Amino acid sequence: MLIKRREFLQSTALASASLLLPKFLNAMAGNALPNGRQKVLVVVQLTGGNDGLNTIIPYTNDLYYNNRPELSISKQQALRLNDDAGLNSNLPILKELHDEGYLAVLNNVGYPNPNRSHFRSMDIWHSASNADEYLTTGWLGRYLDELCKDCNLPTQLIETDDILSLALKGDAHQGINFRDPRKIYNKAQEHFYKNIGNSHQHEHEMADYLYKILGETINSTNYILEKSKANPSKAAYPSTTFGNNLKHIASLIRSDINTSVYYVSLGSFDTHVRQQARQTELFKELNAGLQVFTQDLKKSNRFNDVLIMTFSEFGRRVAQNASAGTDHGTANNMFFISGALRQKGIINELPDLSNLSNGDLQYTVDFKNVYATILNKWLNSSVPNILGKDFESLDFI
Amino acid sequence: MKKNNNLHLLWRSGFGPNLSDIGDINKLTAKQLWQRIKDNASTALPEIAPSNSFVRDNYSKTTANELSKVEKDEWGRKIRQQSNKDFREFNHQWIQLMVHSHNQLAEKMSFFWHHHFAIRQNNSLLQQDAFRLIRKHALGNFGDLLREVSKSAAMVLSLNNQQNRKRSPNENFAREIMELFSMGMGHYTENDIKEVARAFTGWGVDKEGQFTFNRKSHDGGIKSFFGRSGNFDGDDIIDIILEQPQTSIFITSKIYCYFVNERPDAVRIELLAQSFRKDYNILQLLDHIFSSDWFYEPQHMANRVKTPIELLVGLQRLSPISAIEEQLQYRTQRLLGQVLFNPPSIAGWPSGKSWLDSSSLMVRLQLPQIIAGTATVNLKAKIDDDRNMGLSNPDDVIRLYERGRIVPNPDWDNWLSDNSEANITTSIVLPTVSQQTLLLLQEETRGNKNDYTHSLMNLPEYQLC
Repeated sequence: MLIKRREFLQSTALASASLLLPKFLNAMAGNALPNGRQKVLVVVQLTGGNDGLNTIIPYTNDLYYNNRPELSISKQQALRLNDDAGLNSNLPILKELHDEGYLAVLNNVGYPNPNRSHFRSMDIWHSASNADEYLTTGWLGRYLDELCKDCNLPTQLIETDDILSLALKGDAHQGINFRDPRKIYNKAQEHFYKNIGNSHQHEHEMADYLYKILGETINSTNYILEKSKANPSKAAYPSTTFGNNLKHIASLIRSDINTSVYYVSLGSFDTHVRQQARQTELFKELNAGLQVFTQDLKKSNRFNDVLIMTFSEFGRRVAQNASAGTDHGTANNMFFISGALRQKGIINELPDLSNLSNGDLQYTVDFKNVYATILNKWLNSSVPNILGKDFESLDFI
Repeated sequence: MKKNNNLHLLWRSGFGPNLSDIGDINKLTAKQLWQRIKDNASTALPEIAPSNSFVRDNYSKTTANELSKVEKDEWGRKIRQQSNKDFREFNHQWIQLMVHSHNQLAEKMSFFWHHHFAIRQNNSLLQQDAFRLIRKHALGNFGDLLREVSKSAAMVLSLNNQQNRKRSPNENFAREIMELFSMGMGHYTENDIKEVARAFTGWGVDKEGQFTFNRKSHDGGIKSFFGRSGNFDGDDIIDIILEQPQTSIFITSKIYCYFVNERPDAVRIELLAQSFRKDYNILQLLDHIFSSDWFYEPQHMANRVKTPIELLVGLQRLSPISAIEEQLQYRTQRLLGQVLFNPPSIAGWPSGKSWLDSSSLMVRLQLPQIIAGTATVNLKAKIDDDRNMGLSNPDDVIRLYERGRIVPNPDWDNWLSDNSEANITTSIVLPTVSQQTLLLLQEETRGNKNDYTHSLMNLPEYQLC
């Protein structure tokens, strides 16, 4: 058995889903896309703590140059956004989008009592918890719970990764994750597994629960595969992991799938040593992917329905370290890209480098206000139910 | 039914049956089996230790005043690198003990306390020292366990008590000792946290990585806590915490939910806690649970999702897969989301259903094939920058092709031929599998018991214990 079944165990975690429980295939819920176009959020996670100060360069600020004798970027090198700040030159697509009015930059985003552990700070961003609170569900997962009180096809959240992030884990529902929708599904059909699925009688409560997840997985992956083939993107995405992920996302956005949130990660931005080379390399990957993606969205006439948001678990220290890098910091900037922005360009004050806390930036915008804005104005959901209480919305959308 | 009880007990009090005891558990009553488990628990647990003393030998290099910052950073980097290697060794050593040790109860309790005192600490020496205390008191006195782990350098540093000084208190440890380690949220006030933080001022770590009390940093003033006032220090606070009935309820409840049922039974927990709080004897509490008739009631059986470690260890205890190499052990843990000595936060790992989403369930269902190398797998774990510092890590990726990892095991073959398929089924899978499924398994595997066993381990039911 072990040897015979080698064939069906293909290269993704979801491979064998296809072989199980065909009776669930018919149980697909009727929550197809409603009339009109659905708003889509694409979260781009810059894993590892991107250095925001070398992303949006405050080139008229002497303190920036004093703190970073070797690592700073000169005004000439930067791509001008306004009189006080410019973009890292490896992100020309953002400059282009900025000039077209499709980019908003929000500075100094963070939270009280910042944690400098990657994992912990990422958890705080994913779960939208306070720094001293531990939650086991994510903000988007709770959005899914809220949205999906009675649907059994929870494909509203999709992450392009082998492992599902906390952000997409809810209480009752979880997001779906994969790296390639074509590989979700394996050709090899096994009567054996089909039959087991048909014969199972759920005598046991927990076993029943496991079969339910399995059934949902099969339904969802079928649905996703079907939609990804419906109207696939033909654009020439870079052949990087990030590029491929965006291509899958674009293909799904072009279909009428019911997905409202896509989640994709790029990293690691943990630039303790030789920051410049590393950040440049990653920005080039980011830039190349976003360039094709935004163009693709414009061409397919979906750019006004899509909001792209970037974030990192923290920014980095203001001063460079002794290894031509930077160490873990606190507040950071976020990008918002869409054809439907209400505020454009750099929409709040640049970091105050004269008012640091132990060498770190002090946040002025709580990331929960950003989440609240998106939940409220873009995803049309209940902020208090998802974030525990109401948070004021910002004006960028 | 009797056999079912015994399997239930073996899975809860340890990591499931193994080849050497599966044969004769039919002959024992659950009470006799529990007695045997307790007898096996009287030996002390071996220490988990690195083969290389680099981190211990050079710990003080990162704190030495005579070295420049650049030199200290360089030592820090070397120590971190060696620590990562040490953690791999710790991991492997502990897994081997979980798989092979007769003292299953104490290994299981160490695992429980590793969840409970889920210290995130990148230095292997500090982690080793703290873990020694956990193992020493795993079945002993909870008060001693709480006090000694609280005084470990790993705890002091990871919860910032080093920065908790008279003039600038840091409340992190004060909050967590009450919220996570003893009473649970909602049973103390914000003012309690402030007072407790004052009492813990001065608890620090010296240059060698050992706990120390810095009198100069200690706030010697009067503190008020749970109706009492005095010039309390950290030890006094722990005494008062242990006097609170809520502490016994919180710990008992956590143990009940872990070992019996995730749905707490307040009445039963209160009864257990009443006797637990008399002397905080952990073994006694477990004895109460595992020797009670209610522990064997059907609603408590097979209602837990195995943690990734339980799944991985259980598989090695009773299956044809008897030897998994160190690297694969480690990579599999990363893939399944539970790496020993690397908890996600001080609050520990998630539990129960939160282990399961669609993709993780698929990986878990295929685990026997993944481990045996008969499945082609190409999966990438999430980046762990707290350990990797932005560098790529070969352990992020699991790529296995046709490695043929099944080590022939004559004992296993003997067990298979000595047992009927019905008997094998009830030894491998705890929940009842439907007759129809069993018939299909038999049809498909045509009397090949090895294939039959693997099929059993691919069933969703195998995920439960």
